[in-house]
Amino acid sequence: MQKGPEYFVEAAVQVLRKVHNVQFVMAGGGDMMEKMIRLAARRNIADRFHFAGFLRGKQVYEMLKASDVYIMPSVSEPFGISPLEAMQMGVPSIISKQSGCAEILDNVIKVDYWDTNAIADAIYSILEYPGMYKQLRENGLAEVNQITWDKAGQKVINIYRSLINH
Amino acid sequence: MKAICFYFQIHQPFRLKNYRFFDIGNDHYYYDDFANDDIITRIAHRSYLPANEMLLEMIKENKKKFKVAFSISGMALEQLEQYVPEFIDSMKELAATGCVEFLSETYAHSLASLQDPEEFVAQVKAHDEKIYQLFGQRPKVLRNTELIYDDDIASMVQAMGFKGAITEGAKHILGWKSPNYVYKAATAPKLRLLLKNSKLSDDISFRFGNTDWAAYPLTADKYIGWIASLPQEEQLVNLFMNYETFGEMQPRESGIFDFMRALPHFAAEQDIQFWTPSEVIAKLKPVGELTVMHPISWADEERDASAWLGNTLQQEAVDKLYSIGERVRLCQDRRIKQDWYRLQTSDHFFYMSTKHNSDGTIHSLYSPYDSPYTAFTNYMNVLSDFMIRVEQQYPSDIDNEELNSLLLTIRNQEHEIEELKREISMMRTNLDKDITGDFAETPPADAEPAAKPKRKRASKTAEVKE
Repeated sequence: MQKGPEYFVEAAVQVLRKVHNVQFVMAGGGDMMEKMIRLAARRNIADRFHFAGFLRGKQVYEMLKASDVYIMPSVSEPFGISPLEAMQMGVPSIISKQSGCAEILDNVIKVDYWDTNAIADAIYSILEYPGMYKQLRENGLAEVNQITWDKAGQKVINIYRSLINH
Repeated sequence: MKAICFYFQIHQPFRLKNYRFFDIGNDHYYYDDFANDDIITRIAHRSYLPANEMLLEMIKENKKKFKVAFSISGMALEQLEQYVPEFIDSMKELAATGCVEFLSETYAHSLASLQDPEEFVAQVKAHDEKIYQLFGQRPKVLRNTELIYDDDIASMVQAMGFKGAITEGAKHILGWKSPNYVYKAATAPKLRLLLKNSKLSDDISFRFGNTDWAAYPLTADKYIGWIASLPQEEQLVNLFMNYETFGEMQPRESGIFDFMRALPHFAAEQDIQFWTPSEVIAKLKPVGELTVMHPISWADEERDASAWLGNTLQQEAVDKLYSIGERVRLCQDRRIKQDWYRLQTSDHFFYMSTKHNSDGTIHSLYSPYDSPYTAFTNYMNVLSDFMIRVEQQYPSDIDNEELNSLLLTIRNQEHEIEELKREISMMRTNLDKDITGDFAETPPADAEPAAKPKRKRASKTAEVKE
């Protein structure tokens, strides 16, 4: 429920109606997985929709390396670090407005998790319009490189310093 | 003696509706009628109509000594005709005073001047025609979209027969020079340039109601004082602004209308007159040449074309749009022509800007989209559908030249058939005469010219078929 996997499947159905040459991979496991496999089968897109299970370490990067788009349609997500990983690999990302990281990221596509039309539209746009892919890839990479633990650490230190000085 | 030259811009784009990729090929209507109607009606009632009323009164009160110029895009005119026809009437009334000059521009408020010279010329002609139909004036001075200007544009504008062009007094172009003179274009010596005085224009359009501004409150007395205190030689002040300045950007409560009404009185005290751009060109001599290698405009801090063509998204959209320009100009379909204009409006590309500095806020302020990426996706979906429609009319596997000659043949067909028929009948009579033995009587000079064009025409059709 929390990660919104069913919205991902529904968006995939819409994209596949228009372009057939696309493959979707759902990474991760959990109590929804079986239900999702059945949903994909019922929607008749099982040949284009794959379930990779839970990915660890290097597997994550290999999967991202092979991807053109990353999608996180979370219903609720306190922060969500995985879009940052995707952006670091130069993969354009689509995230839900309801996730925490939507507040700090600019060069991603933000959609409401329930708006499967908008998710599908964004996927189509990244796949079909080269300018969209290039702009998101380059600006996303530049943006995510600005986010470092050093800066976060410095911020915390500054807060402590200002408290001491008070 | 000094002069103020006022010019107001009126433009509204046809905003696109939310258009998803699965609509491509199915839905051929692209516009958000509700938003377009709502926005233009609101702005017209808050700004355009009361401002027109104000100008009309000012012209009457000052016995026609108060003059202004307007540049109204074809897109705005179409929407005003449809949703606020009373505005067109009020504009006609203003035009009848003889104190209002209409400027030329691209019909679609497009970037054609930078992308497609042929389209640029066609659109300027279309716009001038529209202005003539509505207001009975043939524009003599051109104001390109968003004051975009460079040397290449100057040559095109001069070739079209315009006496002057209006552009931005961009600091990086002017350097130490002042915008308060008339200049001539380096590549087109007959073309006069009027440059916007950014500081004094923005004082009215952006800073007038800002209480944090050091000069607040701005009174007509103070403002005319600033102009009067300019050096003696600087005779001209060009004040160019959006017409929405009155009532929309500066609300009625800020006193903007009363400020304007008071201007002519204080101006008269200081011997400052009001001239239209054509008058300025007739009365003042140019003091120097201006060379503009790269396009300038009035947008953002950079004053260049980067607000519309700055990033990959904008470049792809513009390139794709103008890649079918030649094709569309061959089309006769009215709806395709209409959509072609509406999709060219520069605003669509402005919404795609990803500038994140202080200007970014201006970009997002006017945009109906929540991000430049959504703006791009929506526009590209619409454009994809439009391209399919153009493709259906003329498949892309026929190249333009071939298509052009084919179309020419089709258009000339009727004419040609008629001529050939006449020739046949002529030859028949000749033949009859021949048989009856009358041939010797007819002079041979008559028969020859009839045969000659036939041979010529035959070779022409053969070429086309190849």
